[in-house]
Amino acid sequence: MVDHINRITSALESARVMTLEAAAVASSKFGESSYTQYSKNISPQQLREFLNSRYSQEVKDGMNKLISALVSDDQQLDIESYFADVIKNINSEDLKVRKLICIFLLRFAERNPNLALLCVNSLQKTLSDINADIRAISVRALSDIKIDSLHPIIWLTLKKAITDSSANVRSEVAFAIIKLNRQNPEDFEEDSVLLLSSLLADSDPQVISSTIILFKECFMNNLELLHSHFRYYCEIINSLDSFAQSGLIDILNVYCKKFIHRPTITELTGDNIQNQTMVFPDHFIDIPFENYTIDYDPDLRLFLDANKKLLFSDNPLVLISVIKTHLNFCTPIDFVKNGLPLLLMRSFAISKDISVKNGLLQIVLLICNKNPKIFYPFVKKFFILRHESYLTSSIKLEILSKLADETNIKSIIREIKYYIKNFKSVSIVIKAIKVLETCSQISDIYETHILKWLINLIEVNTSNTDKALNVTPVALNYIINTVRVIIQKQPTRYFVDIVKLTTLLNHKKFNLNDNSKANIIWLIGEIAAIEFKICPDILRNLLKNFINEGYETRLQILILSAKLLSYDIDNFNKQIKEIDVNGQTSFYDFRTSRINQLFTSIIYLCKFDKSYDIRDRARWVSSLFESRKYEIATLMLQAPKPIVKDDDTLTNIKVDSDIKVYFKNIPWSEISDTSNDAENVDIREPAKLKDYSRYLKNLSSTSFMSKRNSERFVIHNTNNKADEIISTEPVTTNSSTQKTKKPYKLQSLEEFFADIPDSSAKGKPKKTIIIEESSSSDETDQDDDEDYYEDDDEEEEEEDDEDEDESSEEDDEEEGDDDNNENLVHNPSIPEIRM
Amino acid sequence: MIISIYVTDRSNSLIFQYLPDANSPTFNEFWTKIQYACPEIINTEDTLIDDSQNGDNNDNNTNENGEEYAKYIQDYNEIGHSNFNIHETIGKDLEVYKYYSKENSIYYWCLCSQDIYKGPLEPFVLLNRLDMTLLEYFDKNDLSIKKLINNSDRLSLIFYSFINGGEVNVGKLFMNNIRDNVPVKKDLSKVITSTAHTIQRSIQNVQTGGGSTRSITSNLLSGSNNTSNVSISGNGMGNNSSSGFGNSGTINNKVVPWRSGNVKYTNNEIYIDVIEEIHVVYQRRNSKRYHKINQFNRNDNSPMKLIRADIIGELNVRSYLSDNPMVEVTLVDRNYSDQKTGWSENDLFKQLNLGLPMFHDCVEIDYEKGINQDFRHIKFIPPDGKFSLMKYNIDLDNSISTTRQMGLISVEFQDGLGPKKDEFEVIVNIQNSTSLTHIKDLKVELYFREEKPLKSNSLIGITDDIPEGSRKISQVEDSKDNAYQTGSNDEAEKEEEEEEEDEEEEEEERVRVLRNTHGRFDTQTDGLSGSWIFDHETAVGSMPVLRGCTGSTQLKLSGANMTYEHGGVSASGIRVSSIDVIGLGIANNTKVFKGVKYETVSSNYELRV
Repeated sequence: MVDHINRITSALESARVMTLEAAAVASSKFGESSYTQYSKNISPQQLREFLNSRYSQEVKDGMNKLISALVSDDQQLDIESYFADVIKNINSEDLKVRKLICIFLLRFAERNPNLALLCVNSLQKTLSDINADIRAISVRALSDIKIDSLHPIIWLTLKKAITDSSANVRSEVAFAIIKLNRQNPEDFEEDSVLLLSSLLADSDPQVISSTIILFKECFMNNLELLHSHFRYYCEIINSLDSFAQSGLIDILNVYCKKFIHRPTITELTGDNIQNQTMVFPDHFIDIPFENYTIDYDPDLRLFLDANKKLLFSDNPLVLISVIKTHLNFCTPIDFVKNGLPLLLMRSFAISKDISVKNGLLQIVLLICNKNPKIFYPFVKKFFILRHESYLTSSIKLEILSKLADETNIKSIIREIKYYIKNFKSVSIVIKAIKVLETCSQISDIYETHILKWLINLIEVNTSNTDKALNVTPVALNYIINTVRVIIQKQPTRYFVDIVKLTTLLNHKKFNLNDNSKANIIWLIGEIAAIEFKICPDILRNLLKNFINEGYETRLQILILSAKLLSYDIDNFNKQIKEIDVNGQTSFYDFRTSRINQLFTSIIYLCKFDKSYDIRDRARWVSSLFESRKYEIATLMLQAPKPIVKDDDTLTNIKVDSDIKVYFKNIPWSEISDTSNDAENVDIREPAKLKDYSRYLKNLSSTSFMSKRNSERFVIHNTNNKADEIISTEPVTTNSSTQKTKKPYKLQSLEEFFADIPDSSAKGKPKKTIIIEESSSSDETDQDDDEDYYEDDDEEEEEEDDEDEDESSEEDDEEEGDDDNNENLVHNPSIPEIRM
Repeated sequence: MIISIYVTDRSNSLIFQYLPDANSPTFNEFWTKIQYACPEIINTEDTLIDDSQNGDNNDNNTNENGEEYAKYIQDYNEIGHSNFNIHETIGKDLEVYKYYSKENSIYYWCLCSQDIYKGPLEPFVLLNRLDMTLLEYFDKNDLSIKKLINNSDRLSLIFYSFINGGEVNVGKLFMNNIRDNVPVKKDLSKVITSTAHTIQRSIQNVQTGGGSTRSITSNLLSGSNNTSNVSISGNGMGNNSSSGFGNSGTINNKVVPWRSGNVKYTNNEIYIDVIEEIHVVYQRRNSKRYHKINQFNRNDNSPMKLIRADIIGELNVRSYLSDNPMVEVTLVDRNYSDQKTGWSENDLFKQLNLGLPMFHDCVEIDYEKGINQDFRHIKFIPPDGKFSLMKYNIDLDNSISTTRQMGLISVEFQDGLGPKKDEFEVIVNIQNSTSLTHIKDLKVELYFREEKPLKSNSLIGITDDIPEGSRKISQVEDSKDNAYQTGSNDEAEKEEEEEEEDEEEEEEERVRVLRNTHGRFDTQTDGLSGSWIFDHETAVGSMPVLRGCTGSTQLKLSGANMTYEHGGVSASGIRVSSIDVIGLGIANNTKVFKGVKYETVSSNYELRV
């Protein structure tokens, strides 16, 4: 009986467990947390089963589990051991699983080359999938597998993929080249340059965006490749991705410095007689003229105009790049006229992210270091708000100290005083004091004012012995040091203030720190030459508490006593000389001199000092006087001291190294005028674009981008006309003069034809020449030339949409259209290619 | 090149790591390395988090000032040298960037290789973008750590879409791309919220008479989701789709990179939120005459003087429109458009001063005009879902409109009141408004400062200046051992305090409230600040008054900071006058539900005495 009951209960129990499991699985569909819980409970063995399961959901669960173990640094699961099980699923129908496998491959393929090779075949198969996204993923996944033996295959793949109709796939090629280049750049240099030139000539903004990243990463030494694309890029810059925009500007900055003539500056004088000209200096502040005009090369002008298109971008990187361009090529007037200071300030204000905010502020600081005038109108923006972070506040204060000048100093001083009195953060207060010190250097009036204010602050905080101070002790000590620095410059002027400071020395309530005390004592030693009378009394007071003072103070007391003694002896000697003209020598009476008594007692105390240094110095000082070498003592102790430059490390903000490097001036490379101008060649003659959109089945006619492109197209057109005027014989001279260019251009076009899918790859020699010519005839036939520019004729596109099924047929038709067009010289070759 | 990215919580324990390379160090390896190479970067909480006033507590009143100071200088130098510890170099060619996400309270650590052509801030901008994308993807205002852990697979996929080969995956960072690549999961909670949303909207439709062109919807569901009545083709990567790859690839209707091709909605909706933040600092004018004569006189002789002011505004759009429509938004300035007479169209434009705004990539800009754009009309093809259309910063420092009040609320102080001159009064003046009924979460923080009377002419002799108290103490000290010095100080202080207390007949120096019309008043423990906290909602047109007593003439009101929120109107007076949707695909007369919401937030409304 009992047995039965047991059996039933155990059966029920197992049923319960089963339902619970089922419920867990079911609930995993609903909530994330329960799914995570469920996922956690998958055992390693189960996981292997899941990965090999026929059911896609189980595979997915398995992959999810693996990936979450990977990203959470789970040590318990040996993730790598599942590699074989994972890559089996590379052909999974579920795109998510496939992508998760790609992420898995990123991490582990390199370590398991043999196993990884197994999935290459599957990936290659998907390269010809109808879906462009899948092709793109495959290209990406293939290039992510970092196995050397695989590279030739990948290069082949890339060569094929570069003519893909989808921009996604083509831009993936750009990224693939980056990855391959990182591994062994030498092996495939030619290939990559070939592919790059195709990518550069692409018409799709997305492909160009990726290509820019590629270029910046791998080809910064081959800037000449950009010649024929420079103008086009300047035109379309606003359609690129914002990260690419910033990258492009950076590249073109370097390019312009290398290949474009330095702008010249002409002084504008009223009478127009002797106008001085000079080349654009390395820093725009070096322009010596008041009124001037600046002449830019037309291409440089084009680039600068392109920069202006990006002023409203919401990506701070773009703004930073534009600023860089302006610092490199523009005058301060243009800098302000284009609204850059305003833009910088607004980006700073708007940005919610503190790292970006501070970066922008540091850029302001960097510009202020060279040319603070630009930011004068924004002084108030650098006033600190109560809730701002320490970082922001301290950079702001630094900027304020740079901006202070006669016109705005009053408001700055008022503001800084407020911080010192009201802010609780010691570090901010100290920085504020530092700014005040900088302000004091502007003129004597402010110096006096600030000094009085600071001393008043010290007095108020020390005299009225109340429990809470307006200013914390640390800050107060810093104030004292600042006061000392100001006074030291003109001790006579601020004699009264020195006297006030000395009262602090014996202040019982307020504990000056060692350093501050030492500072004041040192200052007394310096004024001894001016006002000797008060000094001995101060020394006497100091002596009382000598043993309780800190190291620095004790040392300074020792030195002070020596100084005073030295002065006293000198004074005595002077008086002696005046009185005894007879030549009777009388000596300074050490025994009766009060100062000597003080001195000896200090020396006595120093003998028992715990510091080696003080004992040593005491011996040294006393020996000076014992040996009666007063002249030496005078020289040593009374020498005028240079004004101490305050240590900048304490308060100077270090601009981030990244920013510094970024804004480093790029040197101009002098272009020899003869090489180009002699033969009247325009090296930046635009190249033809490669438009792959005609391979697409479907094109939206109401396309926003195509509208944008058509606008571009118009500009492009006019530009060509302009070029036409400059360079009458673009094709032939081009190839003869520009040696680097010729192979590049030919190659690219060869590529272009060779890569037309299925039907191309013939008649290379003919084409190359012919197409060069057609570039000169652009002006006339561009409107019809659909191959090279995106269509602006909408109706025609729609027709295409309806008609074609396969790209080859479409080609046929288009080519047929072209046939009617006599201007298109390359047409005859097409039928041959197609056979 | 980005080598790896780690996400940690505020106590630096790992939440997520993205390791896109066989050589990417795991978090443990990474952490060991930076602990050794640049330990400073680990503890930078104070410098990164936006609250300097509470951040540094090291000004304790120890007597060892000297040592403290030396230590302080040492710390200080370190800070100065190390670029604020958010960017460090490890070894020869590695760099680590630390990014703090305010919304999610998490840290991102980005390990990069050095690259001379890399723009500065690039990692920060990327991480910022990534952080924003995560919020948008999950459609939340902040992400809990649990949420991040639960969705680690999605996170991996999003990171994978963001970074390609260690570089920014340009052109694919737009939300539509992320959504296509990482399909949004539909779980039960989403179904519920979206149903709630539908119900609420239908109610609203009834209320507003169904889709009028301009209707102000005061509470748009913030966390609403569009899944219920929306089918986005191209996210067919769910379990059921056998092809699994969506249609976006084969039928490429994509006209702009930020918008997927075949977006279809049964209900077309577009909402614009105008959110403005006021940052303003006022200083009370010195002359006492001002607040005696012009107490409530709101003209140019206002007792407060503007130190600095700006408004930061943002136009957030949520668009659920079919196909590829073109939207045109027209903005006007309320302050001027309401006064119908005397302002021509051109004048209105001149008054609309937005500074130089930032626009989302989708906005069409007339490049010919350069910085002299016409900001009244903004034309764009909207990305699907939520995005920030425009951000602007109105600089009021240099504008002439001093008469224009900053927002609806103004604050005035008076102190030195009462028989003992130790009372103060704070008056909050809330203007009446037709567009809203109440102010949310109004709070006025008051700061006090202990102020010793400054001697008017303290340049006289030295000896006279030493106060009696300290002389007395010095005598005491001379006779005592030095070790007891501090003790004697305290005693002396106590004596003095007692004296003071006797004089003023106060138990302690503490701020007390005498009269208060609204809310409650909390005093901080240090006695130097307090907050006047209002109810959740305060009616407009009221004038709350707080009268308090500091208990001492030396303790004075030194400043205040006001925070509040309200809907209905924007602080700058910017108003959306029309939203035109052009080209809604199939049927051009499709009704579009349009909504505009205004919100004003004041977090930095600072007043100084």
